[in-house]
Amino acid sequence: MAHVRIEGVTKDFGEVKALRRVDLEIKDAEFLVLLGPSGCGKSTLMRIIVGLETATTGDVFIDDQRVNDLPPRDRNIAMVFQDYALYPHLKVYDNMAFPLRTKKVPKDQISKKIQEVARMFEIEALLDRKPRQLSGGQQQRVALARAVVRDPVIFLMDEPLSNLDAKLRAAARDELKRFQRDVGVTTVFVTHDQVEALGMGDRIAVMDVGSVCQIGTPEQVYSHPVNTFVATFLGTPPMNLVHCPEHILGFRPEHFQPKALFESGDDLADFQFRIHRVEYLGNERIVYGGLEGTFENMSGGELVMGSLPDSVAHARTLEDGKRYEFGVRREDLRFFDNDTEQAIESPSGGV
Amino acid sequence: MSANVGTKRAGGIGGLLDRPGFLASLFVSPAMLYMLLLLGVPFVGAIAFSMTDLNIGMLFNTMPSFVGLENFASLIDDPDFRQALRNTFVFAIGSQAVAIILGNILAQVLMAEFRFKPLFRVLVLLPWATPIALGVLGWKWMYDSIYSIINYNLRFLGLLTDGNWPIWLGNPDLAPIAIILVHAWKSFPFVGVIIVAANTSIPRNVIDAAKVDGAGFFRQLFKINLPIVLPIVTVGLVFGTVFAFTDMSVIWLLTRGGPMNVTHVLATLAFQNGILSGDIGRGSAISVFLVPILGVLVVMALRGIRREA
Repeated sequence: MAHVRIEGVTKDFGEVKALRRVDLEIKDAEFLVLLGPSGCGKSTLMRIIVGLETATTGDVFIDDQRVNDLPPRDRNIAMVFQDYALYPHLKVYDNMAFPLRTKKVPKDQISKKIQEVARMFEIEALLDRKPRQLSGGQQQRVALARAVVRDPVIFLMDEPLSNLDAKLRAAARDELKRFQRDVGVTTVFVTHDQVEALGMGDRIAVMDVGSVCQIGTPEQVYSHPVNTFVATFLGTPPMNLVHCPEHILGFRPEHFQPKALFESGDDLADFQFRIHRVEYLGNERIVYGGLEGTFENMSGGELVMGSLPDSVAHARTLEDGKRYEFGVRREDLRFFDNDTEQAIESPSGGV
Repeated sequence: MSANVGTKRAGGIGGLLDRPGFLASLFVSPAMLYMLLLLGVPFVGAIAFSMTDLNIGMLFNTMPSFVGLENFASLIDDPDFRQALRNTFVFAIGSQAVAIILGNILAQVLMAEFRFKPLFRVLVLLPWATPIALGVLGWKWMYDSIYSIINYNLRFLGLLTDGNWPIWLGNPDLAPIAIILVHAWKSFPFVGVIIVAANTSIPRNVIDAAKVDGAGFFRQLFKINLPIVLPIVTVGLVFGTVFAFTDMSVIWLLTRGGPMNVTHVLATLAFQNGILSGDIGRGSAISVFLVPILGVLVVMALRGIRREA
């Protein structure tokens, strides 16, 4: 259980600026997600925390101790890699024993600890096998077991679930989160999957091109994105962005509903919406279409999407080609500056 | 208008060529012919001759008679043969041991970054790529009894005192060393390149995991790098060992098997006995002497590789 402080960290690889000024604090026992697209620097930041890379400038503190110059093995951090990085030539038992042997733990203690952890992850039967004889899910559990066996103060996980097939992934997400809650170890979890991030993180740090755009709870980053990047990165389908002369208007597809579905007291922004196509996805319907008429001084024609759950009977009546009256609650509207793309408060002028 | 897709010509050469079995055999046949005529027939021939008393004088004259394993028995009694048998192993193992060490050093150099690396890489592979006779002739001059550039350099560096002038190829104690060095020289670039390839094939994440798990330099090297790299490097060593085992040219051009037969190996001894002296039966026996052992070794090695794969 440790807390991590990252102050003013930058990282250059020659000409390439992988990280531009990251300031981040990770609380004790927190499950922090580093979320961002490929190349945003999240893996680099993680490697700096664990010590596989050194920051060009800035400091990393673990429990208030400056660890910049400390090699990975002295930081008591365990890491789970995306492709598990199990030692291919060693049996599962020896894979798990490796970190203990480097610390010169006596043999009987090693054996005890491995049995204990193997039971925790239900891999006792696999101890004599080699990694190539294991399925993806089993390899993942072994990778986790190898990390746990060291009793680290921090877990770092680099997209550990992305190699699992979709079915396994949801179950693995649940197991992992509950495990972390039970053990209470500070965890930094790197992913590009925003669903994973929303589902697992206590807080999410959204990164893009080398810096942290926004840090907050899943509700905060989802409901109050600080710029259009965060707004469109989180949420599927992504937030609709309508370009108006004075600002960019944003609203999420699930807030964009036929007017008839709102309650009479709601304060709505009205839109004329012609549906081009209804997409049936089983549990929901996505309606693709264009805004018509004038609003916000715009002449219309912007393509937007709406998302209606299948449980809404009205959704089944929507047809291609027809025009409907849709609306968004004003409190669900978001506004972004045309030039900086940063979030702004609700501006003057209405729909 | 119907498409004519799928109609086959009934017979004739077109139809024959369309049959996969036939076409495959056709393509493989030149190679099979080569193997049969240039490898298979001489091999069987050698085994056959080794059990006769055939010599050159008998050709077109007398019929050789079957003598069973007599040739082999007389070889085992011959100290020169026993020496040649020893040498075959000692030179092969010794030269590969040196090649591994030099190859490792080379691998470290090749994995570092430095200025003239592309040129260096070409130079480094030259020994392996050079036609063997050319390379050995160069070495012959380097080992020369008067003009040895090795000796000149050693004296220049002060490592050779006056009165000490090693006659590399004429001294029965030095000649084997000279030969082992040339074998190593030929093999080490290949071993080095294979070590580099094997090392770079280790996924970076596995090395990272070892670092995070607390492995220092030596533990990483011995517990992670080496075990993963070993099967691949073994392949390179097999090539080098086979080369040294069967080598004829290097030894023949340097020492002809001398001085006093101390540097003979089975290949050169077989040549001397069988071709130069004309005792085909004896020469054949020498050359097939190792077949059973090599056969077992190859089977073991192949099984080992297959198990790792």
